[in-house]
Amino acid sequence: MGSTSVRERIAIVFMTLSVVATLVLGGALAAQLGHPRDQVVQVGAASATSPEGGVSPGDQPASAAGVGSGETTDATAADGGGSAAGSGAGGTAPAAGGQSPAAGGQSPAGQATSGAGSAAPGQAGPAGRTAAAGKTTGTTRGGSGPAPGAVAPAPAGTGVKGPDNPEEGVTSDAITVGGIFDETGPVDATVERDTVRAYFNQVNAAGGINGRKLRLLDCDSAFDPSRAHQCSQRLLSQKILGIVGWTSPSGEEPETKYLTGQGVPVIGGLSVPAQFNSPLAFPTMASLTLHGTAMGKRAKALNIESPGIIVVNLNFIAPLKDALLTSLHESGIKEVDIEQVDATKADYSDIIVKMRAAGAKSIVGALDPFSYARMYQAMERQNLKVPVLGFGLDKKSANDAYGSAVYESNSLMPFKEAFDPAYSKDADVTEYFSAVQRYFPNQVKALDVYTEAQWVAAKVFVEGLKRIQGPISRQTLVAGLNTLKNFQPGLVPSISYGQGNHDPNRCFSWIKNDKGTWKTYDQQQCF
Amino acid sequence: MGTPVILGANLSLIPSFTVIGIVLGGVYALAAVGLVLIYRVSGVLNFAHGAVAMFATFTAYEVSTVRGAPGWVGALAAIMTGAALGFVIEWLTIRPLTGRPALVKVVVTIGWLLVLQTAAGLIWGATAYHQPVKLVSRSGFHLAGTDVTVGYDQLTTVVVALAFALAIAALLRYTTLGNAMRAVADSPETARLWGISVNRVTAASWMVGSAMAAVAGVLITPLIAFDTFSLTVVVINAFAAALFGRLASLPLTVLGGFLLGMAQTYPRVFSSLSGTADLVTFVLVLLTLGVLFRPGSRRVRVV
Repeated sequence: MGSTSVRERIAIVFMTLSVVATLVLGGALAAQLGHPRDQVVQVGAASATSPEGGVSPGDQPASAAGVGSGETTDATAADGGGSAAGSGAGGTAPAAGGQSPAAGGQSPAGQATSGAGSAAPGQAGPAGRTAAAGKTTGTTRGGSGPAPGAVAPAPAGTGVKGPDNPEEGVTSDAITVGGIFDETGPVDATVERDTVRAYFNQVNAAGGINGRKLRLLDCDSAFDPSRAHQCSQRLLSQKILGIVGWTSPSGEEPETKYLTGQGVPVIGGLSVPAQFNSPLAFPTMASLTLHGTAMGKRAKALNIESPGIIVVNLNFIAPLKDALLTSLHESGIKEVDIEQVDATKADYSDIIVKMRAAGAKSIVGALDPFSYARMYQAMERQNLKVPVLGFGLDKKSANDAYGSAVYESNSLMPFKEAFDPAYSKDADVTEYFSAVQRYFPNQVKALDVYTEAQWVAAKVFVEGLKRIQGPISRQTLVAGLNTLKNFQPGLVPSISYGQGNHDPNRCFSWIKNDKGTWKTYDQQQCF
Repeated sequence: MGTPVILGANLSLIPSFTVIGIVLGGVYALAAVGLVLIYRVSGVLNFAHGAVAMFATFTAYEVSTVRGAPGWVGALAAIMTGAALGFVIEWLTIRPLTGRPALVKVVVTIGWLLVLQTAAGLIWGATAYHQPVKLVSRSGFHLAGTDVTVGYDQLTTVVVALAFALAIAALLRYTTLGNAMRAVADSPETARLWGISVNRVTAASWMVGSAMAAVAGVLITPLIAFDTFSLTVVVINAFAAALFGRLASLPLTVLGGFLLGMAQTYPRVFSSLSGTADLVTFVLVLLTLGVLFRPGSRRVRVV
């Protein structure tokens, strides 16, 4: 009896330990996946130097508010060109000089800030240029033009600070936005989350927006529409100004409708159909339907014959597939097989066997980067060597898994192909790489077309914020975004919004894999 | 004579799909054999079997894919990790519960499942994007006289699965340890009277069974989404195969694994959506439970 009791106790103790360990490990996992990097990044005091070397004007030298958890960044430019950062609550901070051009030289400055007195630091190009406080207006080319290897200048948010609006995520020291990402499951969207954060960190390192730091609250949708909806509700309850740079393949279509129905602006995303049917949605790349049309046209140019079509099974895929087929047929190309596959499908051997049996002489794919990896592996296994046309093929980390089967593949690209050696010295690409390298170095290899979309979304959001006249709210943010005309965020020629629904980027480049390297061979074909 | 077609499906695909099914079934069989071995010797239905396979496989991933060691070194690391985990689970948490109801032990294995899955997610990330452990070249060869192409990794999977299953059969039949395992499986009390250390034999069964789970995990990574969840739930398929052998017969378990693999593959001739495979698994489990475990059904030969 005694030993029985002891064994029972041991079992109870173990189960208790299991539950505790699971909770602890789960909490740690959640923290690692989601939260250690959503903090506001602090400007290191040591970097709070004016171009002249002194502490910048302001009541306090860049010691802002202590929000965040330890990820401290240095806003000083890599080449030491000097940066000014002076955010002091309550201080008036006409930054030194008051009119420093942002890199790129298009930021009219000179508007002295009031309230929190954020003297935005600038950046430093080789000549040690400094962006100081100044109201950025017009068609600002936000944050472009850094020297290679340097972190680009953050756009200086230097308008009037305006009152707090905590119900919509605007407090005295932070502006909070939300993002829904597939952080677990078959699609790894942590890189899109971190790309947005990298840009926010860069802006925060430069003083934030009128003294307010940008903060991204993320939520894991886990490739599950119901989880995505829970995320929407959670983020709404946490008081957010909007959604920025989200990537939730199975959740975006329904949640765009839900969130915009709640009056929440959504910026960026995967350009699912719903994002082209709401004045509160601000996509940064062409609709996926247009992707299908463009691929069909390109197939003709590439002399694609008898293609087998593989599309991922998502709730928004039907319009894309229809557009692709229509475009192919208009080009005189008839598909020999169509396969719709789950994103969780790992072994594509059966699909490739079917393609071969159907007589496919090429493959046109609309899959996620991770599914492409499995498709190429199956092609290699089945010795099927045919041309592949797709989009979103440029993720370098996934390319490692594609093997040689990806050689000569063609991919559609709505932005500059950042991994193309031809753009290695491009200022916009350099800024993009530098920011991610600086804050999330492990994610650089995972960058791709979708991270570029969210990088541009983050820039669009910041520019929209800067254009707000008066109090910051969802309504004024939408109004600010609607004033964007030919805004040049880099990576894409220009973005324009306006009243009504938005479709700002209808152009594509085409890239081809040259023995493992993606090279652009046709630029900006617009539809 | 055209291509035979039924319900819009091209039946000339059947030979190629049979190969795919056999490969999948080989892995299920391997995992199921380990499961049955543990169950027969210790009386515990090990719900952590898939989690052990997953954790061990991620060890191989760490060793080979991340750190660049050859695939066989990673596989070896996985086998050692699997065996070690099997020993720890048995020694630390199952042995102290000797004599307690089986349900208590099952619940303990569920605890291990949660711990291992969460720990793996913490260490290696919870997304599916992990490159599989590469044991052999991914290219394939054409099967002479057919339209079938077989990947070298597929061939390796089947050969290794069969080799391990035969090795287990030989172990049980021709070695002292195997005889001891069979004795403990039949009656632990009688085995103890014969001087067999039941604890050691039970621990050995956990180690061998878990090592086989590790091998199954390494082999199956190119065939499933390689993440902490998918690998863990492979155990469901292993259960289905094990049920076919009534959790007792290793040959029937192996046969069940292969049948399940093929049963999950053939429906893909008609639809590429993977839900069909899950549907087949659950229907087979229900049928097996209904037919094989009905009252008065014939017993099968143990182990």
